[in-house]
Amino acid sequence: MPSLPFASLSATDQGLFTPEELRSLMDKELSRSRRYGYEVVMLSIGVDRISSLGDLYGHESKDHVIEEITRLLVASTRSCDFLGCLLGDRILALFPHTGEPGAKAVANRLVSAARELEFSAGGPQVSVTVTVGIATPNSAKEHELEILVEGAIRACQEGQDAGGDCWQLAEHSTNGHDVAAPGIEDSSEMAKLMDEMLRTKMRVIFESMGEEFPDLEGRDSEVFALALEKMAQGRRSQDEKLEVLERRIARLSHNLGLTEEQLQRAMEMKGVDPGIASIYREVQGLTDGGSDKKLKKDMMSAIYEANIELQKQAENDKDD
Amino acid sequence: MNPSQQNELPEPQETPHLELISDGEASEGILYVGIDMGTSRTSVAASNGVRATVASVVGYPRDIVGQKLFGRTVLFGEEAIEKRLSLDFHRPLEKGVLKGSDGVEGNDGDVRAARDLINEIIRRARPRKDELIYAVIGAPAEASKRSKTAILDIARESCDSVMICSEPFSVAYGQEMLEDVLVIDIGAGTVDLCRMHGTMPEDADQITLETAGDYVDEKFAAAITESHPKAQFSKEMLKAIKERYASVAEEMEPCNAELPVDGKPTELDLTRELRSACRSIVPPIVKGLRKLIATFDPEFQDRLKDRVLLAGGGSQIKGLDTAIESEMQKQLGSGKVMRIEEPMYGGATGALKIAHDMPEEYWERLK
Repeated sequence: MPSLPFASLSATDQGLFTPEELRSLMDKELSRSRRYGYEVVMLSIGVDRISSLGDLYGHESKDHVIEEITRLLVASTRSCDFLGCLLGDRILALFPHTGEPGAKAVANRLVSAARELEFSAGGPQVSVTVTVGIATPNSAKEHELEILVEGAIRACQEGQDAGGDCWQLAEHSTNGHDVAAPGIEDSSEMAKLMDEMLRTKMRVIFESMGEEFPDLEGRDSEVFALALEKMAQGRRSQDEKLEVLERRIARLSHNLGLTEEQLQRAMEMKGVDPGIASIYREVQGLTDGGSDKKLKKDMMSAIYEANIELQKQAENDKDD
Repeated sequence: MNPSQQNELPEPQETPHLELISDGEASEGILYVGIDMGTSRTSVAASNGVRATVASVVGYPRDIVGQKLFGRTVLFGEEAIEKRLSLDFHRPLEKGVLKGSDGVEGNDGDVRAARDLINEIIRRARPRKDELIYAVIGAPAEASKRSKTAILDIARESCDSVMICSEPFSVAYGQEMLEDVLVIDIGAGTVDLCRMHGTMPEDADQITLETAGDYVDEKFAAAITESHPKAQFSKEMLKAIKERYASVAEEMEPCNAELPVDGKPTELDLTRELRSACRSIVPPIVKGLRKLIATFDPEFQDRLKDRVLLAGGGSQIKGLDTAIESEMQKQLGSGKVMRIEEPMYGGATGALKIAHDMPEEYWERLK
């Protein structure tokens, strides 16, 4: 992470850290937050249309604007509250012990304060706006610095793509990458990606059945959503049926036990012999061991063969 | 309970202690059954620890009055013998085979009786209704295929899977004596001799003699008739006397039996007649043994003579083992006879052991 650090968590505010040192500090802060369970939040602050500023008023103008924004950031927070650095044209700030509400408050102050700034370019007045991307870790993976930074930058970019002069909260995904933030249109990249994955899956299913994938006449999302709903309904219905069947089986088993008890009682009273169980639950055969096992095995085969012959003879006699 | 209430379930007198018939784990068990189906007695040994024996006789009440009197439609064993005059009486086996098969005269009643007898002996094994029944039935050594298939046909109605094997072989298998052994299985209808030599016995290894228990009865009857012409007796009477006093020993317990003579019960000393009748089966047995020994590998003949296993109901004749040994000494130079411990169940327990050792796939294919 290049560029000039301008704030630290040091109480004396000694100033500059090397990029490596700052990264290490941020890593350690994130680890501490994960270990001790306190909140952290990463802000990515970008000056809207800053590349145009540079094109129009020169590279020094960009730096000047960024410096002012940095001053606003420091002014809107306590200097000991965050670790910050520049990453390209964006300011990154890691706020420990700060949750989403706090981050939104900072972002709101910054966005509002930035509107009040006016720059003079040797003639016309130039106003700037900023967009703040807010990323909070919601999983162990998202506690990694790179992922948190990426999330904050992506949220900032999305806000700027939507017009800027706002703050944007990054959404969480199970794989650590950001998904579309709430309020984003259906035409978002993630929604498109989900639709494409579902379409592919449906195509595979149809092809496996030897059927051609039908033309959904542009109503893919509706159809897929309906199909998913049907599947969920079917699953719920199956679960309910399963539960009913399990209850019936339990009831039948209970009744069977009662019936058997009654039957045995009746048999005893009538003097009917229920029998004595064999000591064997399974067919035995010759046991291992014994010096004459081979001899006995041959004898069993001979008896069996002789009985097969008898069986054939009986069948022949019947045919005759 | 009054007859009118016999078909109704009585109300429980108090809150019953209920027990489950099936606890889930008892289902699908396997009940192995070994059956020795003899001319005189049918025995069963099962893998639930039950052993039972019943005389191989079946009786059906002749009419509805008889059914009411006896409370059922079929009687077995001693009960049937006792009430035989009121019953359509059947002995479904003769000389070890089913009547109506193998050249033995019989009728449909005998087939029905055989079926009911097998059902009854399996019922006496007390199987549970939720268990499979795998049965092995012993048949006389030289029973024909037709006779064996007849037994299998009727046994399949009561069993999930059934096999037939040689009766004397099952005796040897049950004793774990599979090599260099001679088995003498003395039944009512047949005496089966079997030579065991480390493989499945073949036809040449087995001899069936008809000089068995029924032969002894005939001899006994003839001897009594000769000695006491006016004495009156039935087969069952002589059988009972024989089973009580049978012996071949010179110094046997005196056989004093009461028989009607011209209608008057008279005590007769039948010791000599009985001993003579019992001794009459020894020579044919030793003759059969001689044949089996003589056709054996000469290097192992002496070993064979020293391992003679005596089994079957007829083995209970006192002194028979010694008498056979004596005769073997005379004719063959040596002999050692061992009586099995439980002669009534030797065949059934051997058949049970075979059932236990039979592989599963064999049972499945014979279902």
